[in-house]
Amino acid sequence: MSKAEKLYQERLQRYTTAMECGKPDKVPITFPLGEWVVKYTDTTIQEAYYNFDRTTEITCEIIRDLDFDLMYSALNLWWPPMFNAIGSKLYKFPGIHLEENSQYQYIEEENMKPEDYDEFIDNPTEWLANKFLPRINEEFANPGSYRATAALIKSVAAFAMANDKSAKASEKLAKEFGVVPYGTGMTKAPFDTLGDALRGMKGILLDLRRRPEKILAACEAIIPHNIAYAMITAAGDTTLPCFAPLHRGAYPFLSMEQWEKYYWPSLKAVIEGLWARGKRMFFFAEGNWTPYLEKIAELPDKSIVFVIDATDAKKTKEVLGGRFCLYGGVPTTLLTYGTPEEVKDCVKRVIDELACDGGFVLAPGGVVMSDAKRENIFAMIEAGREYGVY
Amino acid sequence: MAENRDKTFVPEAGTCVPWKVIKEELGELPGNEEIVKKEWENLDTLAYSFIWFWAQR
Amino acid sequence: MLADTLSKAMAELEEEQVLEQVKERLGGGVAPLAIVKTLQEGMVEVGNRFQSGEYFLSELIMAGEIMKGAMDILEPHLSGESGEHKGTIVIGTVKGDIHDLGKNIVIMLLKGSGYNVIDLGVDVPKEKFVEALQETKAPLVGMSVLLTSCQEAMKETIEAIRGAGLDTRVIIGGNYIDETVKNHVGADYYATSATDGVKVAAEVFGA
Repeated sequence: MSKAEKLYQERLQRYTTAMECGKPDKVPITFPLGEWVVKYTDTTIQEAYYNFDRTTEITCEIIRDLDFDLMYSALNLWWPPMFNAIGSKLYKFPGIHLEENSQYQYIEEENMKPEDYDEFIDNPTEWLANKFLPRINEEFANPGSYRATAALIKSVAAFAMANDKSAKASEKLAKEFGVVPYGTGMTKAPFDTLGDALRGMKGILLDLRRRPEKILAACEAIIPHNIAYAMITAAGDTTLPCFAPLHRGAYPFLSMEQWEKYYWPSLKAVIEGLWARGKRMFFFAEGNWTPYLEKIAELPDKSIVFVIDATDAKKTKEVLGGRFCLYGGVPTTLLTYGTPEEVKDCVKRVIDELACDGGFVLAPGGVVMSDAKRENIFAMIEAGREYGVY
Repeated sequence: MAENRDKTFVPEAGTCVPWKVIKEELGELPGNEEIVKKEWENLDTLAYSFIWFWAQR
Repeated sequence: MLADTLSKAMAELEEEQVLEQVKERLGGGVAPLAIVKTLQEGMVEVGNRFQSGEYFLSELIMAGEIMKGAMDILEPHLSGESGEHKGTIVIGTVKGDIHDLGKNIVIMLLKGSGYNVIDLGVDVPKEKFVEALQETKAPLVGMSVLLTSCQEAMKETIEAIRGAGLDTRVIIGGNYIDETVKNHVGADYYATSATDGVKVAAEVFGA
């Protein structure tokens, strides 16, 4: 076994133990990959998004001498050519719509209208293929036309290529550096699937008053798809948890009653469905989830990794600690505006507070943006090793 | 056979055009059905994840 | 407690009742501005309920939608009537950021509280902020940002405002805004909740 392979096994063991709420030899530490890396290279964000090989080089370069366990996310979450080929209206990318060193931005629209509900509920996949794809992709606006056919062929090819390239990159990181990915696959809460790209935030929040029964029926219809989508995108892997960016479940989008009635049951069904297949959810609770902790505690033990962003960390430990692995602790704003000393102090505090009896992964609590400072991220990782030995 | 393609069905989660639909249209296969089915399903899964990608991104 | 049935219907988010009553009152000869004022009272109550934890973002958005529906009916009758307001506030999402939901909710609450709000939109360059402030002489400017990577744009905008010799009070708001960010960019106030904007406006305008 090579040194990197040995490291990989050690780190995977550490993570697995933490996910099982046990106490590993050290607190597992996450390296947050993201656009912030690019400013320390001679590459633009545009190049980092478009050129997969360059992205992998940059990644290898920055992690070369670091000792951490898990890597979170990717530098190029989306490969823009796939979107460009089909004329996607969902994103603005650097170099084509934005200045070359900007991060991509998402354009939220009401892509599904109130009158689409019934058709969607009856046959979601067909509705997406026939109605949704032409609406959100300019080159695919007239299916059957020459341009639409060409666009679809290209975009699907790009999709397959991007999947392949990112699998290869992750393999390289594992083989050469012993880096364990934080998760495999992705899915969403059915309410978010409906509320993000389909109805949009405003649309779904209005539906809560105007057509609540449609929300319930649509979420019900989405449940099996979100289980299937997780397993497919994870390529069947059940060792690592499945990423689930959770949006409208954060406080204060919904009232407690709305949350309990419209957000939670279908998300819980997805989590339980995955858990029955041996797959955990990486419960990426962006924002503040403090009011809902007691309900989350109803989940089967160990079925999620709970990510602490703006949720009250102490309360989380009280309510979920010991039964679910907790992840996070370091505020993302500190990584941008803090100093290495402040980050170190924070890590020490977080480990004292959250890591004591195991079941914890040290990481930034949210998405680290392009303005984060390298020295702060390095300080987080170093302090994690310094204070994080059990 | 062309009119078969207009038949409506609701594909199960994880599938676009499930093997059982195409099998009904093809009838008995002269060779090894499993080989054909496996690759059919692989590509069907790819199509499914492409379609849903746009909703789940 | 709200005495007027229209204010009450607004606060309770009874969409049909609100629209019906607006039409009735217009037909009955009530001054359009008086109707707007009644609706605003309901809107202030919506803000209060949000602050006390009774209402959530879904209710704020619904309130905005009802208000919009009512204003669509009222606007054709409002021309020529100049409404009184408590003061002018300029607001926009800073350069590089295209998120407008938080900004729009804050605008709705400020308008509901009786302020004249100039909305510069999203992805607003610093020059446009300065220009609008010079033109309107607004004593308060609000800047919205969701992406932390666009917080630098906020800093530059505030520097440009100060550079132009304006002493406009600056409030910043957004999901990843806190004391650290406020100090870094040189703002006077920061908001983390939709109703913070109204509180700060009350302080600045002494209303």
